[in-house]
Amino acid sequence: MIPLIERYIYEHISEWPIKFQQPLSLSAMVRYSKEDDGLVDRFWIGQVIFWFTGSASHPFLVTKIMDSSVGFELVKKVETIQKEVNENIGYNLFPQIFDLAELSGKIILFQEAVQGPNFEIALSRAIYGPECSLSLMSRVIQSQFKEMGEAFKRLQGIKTSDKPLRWGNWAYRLGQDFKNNCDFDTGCLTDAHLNEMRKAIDSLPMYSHMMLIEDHVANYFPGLRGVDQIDPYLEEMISQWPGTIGAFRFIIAFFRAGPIVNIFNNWLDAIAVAIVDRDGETIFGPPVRSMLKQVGLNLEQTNVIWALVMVTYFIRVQRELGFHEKNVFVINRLKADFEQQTKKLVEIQERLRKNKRLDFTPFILTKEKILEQMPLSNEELPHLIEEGYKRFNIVHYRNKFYAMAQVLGPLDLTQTKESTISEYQKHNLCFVADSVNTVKELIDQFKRIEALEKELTESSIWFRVAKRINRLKGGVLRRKMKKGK
Amino acid sequence: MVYSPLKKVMYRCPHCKGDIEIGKDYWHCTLCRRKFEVRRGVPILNVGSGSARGFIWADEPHTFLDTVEQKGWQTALENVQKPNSPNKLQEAIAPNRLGFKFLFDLDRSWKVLDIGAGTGGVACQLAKECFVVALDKSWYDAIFMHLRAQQEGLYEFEVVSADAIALPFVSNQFDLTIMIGSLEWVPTSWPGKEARLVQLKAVREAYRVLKPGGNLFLGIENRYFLGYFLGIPEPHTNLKYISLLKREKAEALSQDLRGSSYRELTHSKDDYIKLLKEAGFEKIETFWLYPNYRTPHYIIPLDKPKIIKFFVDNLLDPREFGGKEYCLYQFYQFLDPIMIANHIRDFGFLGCRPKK
Repeated sequence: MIPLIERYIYEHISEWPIKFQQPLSLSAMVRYSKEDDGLVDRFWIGQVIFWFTGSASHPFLVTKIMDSSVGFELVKKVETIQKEVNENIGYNLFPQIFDLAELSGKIILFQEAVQGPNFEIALSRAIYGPECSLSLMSRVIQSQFKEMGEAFKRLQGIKTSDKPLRWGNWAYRLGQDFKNNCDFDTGCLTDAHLNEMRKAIDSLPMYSHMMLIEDHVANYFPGLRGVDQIDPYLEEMISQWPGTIGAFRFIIAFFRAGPIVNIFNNWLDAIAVAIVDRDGETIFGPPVRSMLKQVGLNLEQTNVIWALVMVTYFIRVQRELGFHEKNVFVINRLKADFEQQTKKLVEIQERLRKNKRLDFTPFILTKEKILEQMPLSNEELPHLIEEGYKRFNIVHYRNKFYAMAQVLGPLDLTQTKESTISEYQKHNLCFVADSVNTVKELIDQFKRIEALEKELTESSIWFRVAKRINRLKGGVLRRKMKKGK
Repeated sequence: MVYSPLKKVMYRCPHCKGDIEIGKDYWHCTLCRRKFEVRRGVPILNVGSGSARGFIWADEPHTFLDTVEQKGWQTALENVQKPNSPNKLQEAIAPNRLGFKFLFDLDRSWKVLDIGAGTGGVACQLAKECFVVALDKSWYDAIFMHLRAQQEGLYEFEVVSADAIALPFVSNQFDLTIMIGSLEWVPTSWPGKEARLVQLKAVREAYRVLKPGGNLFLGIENRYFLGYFLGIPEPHTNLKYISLLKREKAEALSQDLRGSSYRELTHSKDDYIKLLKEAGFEKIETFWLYPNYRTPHYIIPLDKPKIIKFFVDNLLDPREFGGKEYCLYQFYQFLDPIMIANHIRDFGFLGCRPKK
């Protein structure tokens, strides 16, 4: 396929509005969809090829090979819509499409390559990369939500319905479909819950407007949008859904994305807390709330916002059920997961209705929390968490927090035997605990005992007698030494 | 069992190169008069013992093959999955096992030979697009593929059990030969012979059966993978550092620690290129198959340092590097792309048989 596409590029590139290094000498790098492991039944784009020329350090062109289920007409339609969006909002929200061709029975899309890592990689690096830090993570999240918020705001300008509509019944139907498809028999999603959602959504008339097609965070820009923007449900989305859903599709995809879900697997709680985080206590609160504000939502109407989360969740999971419909093992596992998540969804709905405060504690991010919960990265290496806490260094290593007395000097935990650690512990030179706070408490406790012992001994009569004896001994010794001289 | 006498490729005796007479229960060599058994529909054309256990490695081959017939190949494969071993079902069905095919303009007229085809992850999937012959040293894997092909209704497909160093095919027939994860294992069946020479012989055979202008795609591990320096065990022997040692020392280590010879040789990038050139291949291209050659998510040309740099800077995800491998991610961030190219985990090589 690559030689064929390469020939096509050489033949047609002069007709495309594209800049490239002269002379044109092409090299290709192929990327496969990560879901391309046989466990997903459908995906719209099979392979993405990045094209480089000469000594350029970035690709200048991307070609996408469509899945056979995607017809030429659909791709053409998508191209038209993307062009319309780009023209209406005044910048290339979607990468420019140069050409569409049918080569060897496959539809090939020729598209502009956009620079930079995509959202998920950028997020992943901020959390797990060697230069990870809370501030970097916070900056990346802020900028991603800001960028998406801007995009959604602009997309609102391209309305596809004449007037704002009420969407309660639509949402209710989706909820019912979801419930039926998942065969819930535990009553975790009752009619009362769905009616409450319907009522909340009905209270906010919304326009249909353009929305982004892809709802995987991994594929959102900025970055190489070597991505899936072709979707058979595109027309339905932009004409038959409320446009505001777009923002919630991003929020759900973001919180369910690998880098975040590794830290907070209870992602629905994380979204709920972010929505009601008025004082910016969590890392997610300010960016999420500011994006919701950008798309024109009243942040005090938390029941409406949560109802939108619910309906977006139903859309998302229905889609996942569709993707895996032929794989019984995956489907059963998914349904069980969805049941748990739905219970959580309605539990939060109830709490918000009763104005009960949500528990923020698990979502106040600290570096220790990230280190504690990151399962895949550098847990094998010791990390210095805090230096010189009451003359102890606190180190995270293999899911434990070690407080090592500074008097021990430089110490490599990877090379230190457990027996040695136990010995240090016996002499209060080391404390081990499951969290930073506990290890600090142990140090504090030890320091308090040490101070108390000192105080007690210094004030006791025996201490004073011993001190006097020492002084006398010292005097005798000095005299002896003088005589000796 | 369906027997099809219509063979699309021409076979020859792997011993004497004589013509083969195809029969239902046996194939005969018209020259040396050797008889080759047809077991459950698959001709056993091995010149060696033919006893290799192959990729599936079930304890009771016949019981397993009966299960394949009765319950279907996917269920049977799931039943023999062992913990901490490669996911057999995923390897058999993952579409990106065919990742390499985009390097060619493959079409229905192509004849492809998959050497060391295992469970048919590549061969059976590719047979939906062109004609494929799957070959495996293990009769057991070969019969599995035969049954799989029957159950999947693959008609552009043939299976044989044979040795890579004595391919039972007449020369100049295939448009593409594939050796993915198999070349390193070839010497294990020939204990008395020098391992590299056995590998060279296998590559020469792959060259011989190709049409002039045809290609070989080789997917294989790197002897000098950076992870081995960090103590990640070499996957074929499960021994640390073995591939980094001089061959004599590696042999001694292997004898000491596992009581057998070190035959699963892997090489450096340059040594593979040398091997392919010795076999006659030209225009050799090298690729980084990331994360591995079985199910690559990326195919990156290694002769373009800028592309390697771009990949490392923009597409490499730190979450994919757990435990000891985390250091690898950090190394990749600051190493020179040329250095990275020499120390990646898995290579892909594309060699072309000259037209004249």
